[in-house]
Amino acid sequence: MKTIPKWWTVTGTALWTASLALVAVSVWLVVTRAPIEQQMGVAQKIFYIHVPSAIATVIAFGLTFAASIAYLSTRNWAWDAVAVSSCEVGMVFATVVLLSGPLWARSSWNTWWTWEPRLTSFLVMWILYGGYHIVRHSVAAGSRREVSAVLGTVLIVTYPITLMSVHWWRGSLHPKNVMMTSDMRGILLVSMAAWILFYLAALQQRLRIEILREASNEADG
Amino acid sequence: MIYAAVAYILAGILWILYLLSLRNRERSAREQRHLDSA
Repeated sequence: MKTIPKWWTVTGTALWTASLALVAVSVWLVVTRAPIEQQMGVAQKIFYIHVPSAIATVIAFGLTFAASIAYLSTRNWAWDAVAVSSCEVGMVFATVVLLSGPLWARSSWNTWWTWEPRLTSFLVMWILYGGYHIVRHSVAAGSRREVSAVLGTVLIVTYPITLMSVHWWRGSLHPKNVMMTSDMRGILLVSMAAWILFYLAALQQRLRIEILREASNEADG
Repeated sequence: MIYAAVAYILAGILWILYLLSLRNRERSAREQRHLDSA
């Protein structure tokens, strides 16, 4: 019977320790060292959680796509486990983006929400990837992995639309490039490293559930 | 300042809730596995 290997638990502890320490450092840097932007003031510091969370979302949904393709090619349950776990953790990051975005928008655009291309396409992507989980839990167990893998593959169409929306459509309020000082760039890099490591730790933690479920499935025969 | 604080607090609450749900689901999966192997 499958069980969680010792090395998996050790790796998880190391990932959580490193990621939580780095997140704490990044928050400390944001609070104490990040320069206060002239136009937006302190509210601009939302940037240091908004952008890394968006990057982590892109990585998470990208891995869902790659793992879905791998599952369809090999029918190995582990790829399905990676796809669903990455998608779920990605949804939490995407929700952080959608919560922090309006707070930033209120400060810079004087509105909580506007139906401009990047915001709209990101919201559509969030809804569709949420649908991935609803569909996965709705279909019969026998075809769950295949249906999920097909969805995980097809949903990648939202990816370039969201990424390129600021270039493809006019009237986008979302900045294409952000002017940063070297201090801001350094703190952004630390924040990115912290949240990407946090994503890996959460993904590894989520995969434990899939390993245990697979063990139960094997026991059921 | 209040917007930045709210953004970080909301993100923190969301992650804590998610990680708690992961812990509970792992516990349920572990119990189920023990039932299956019994």
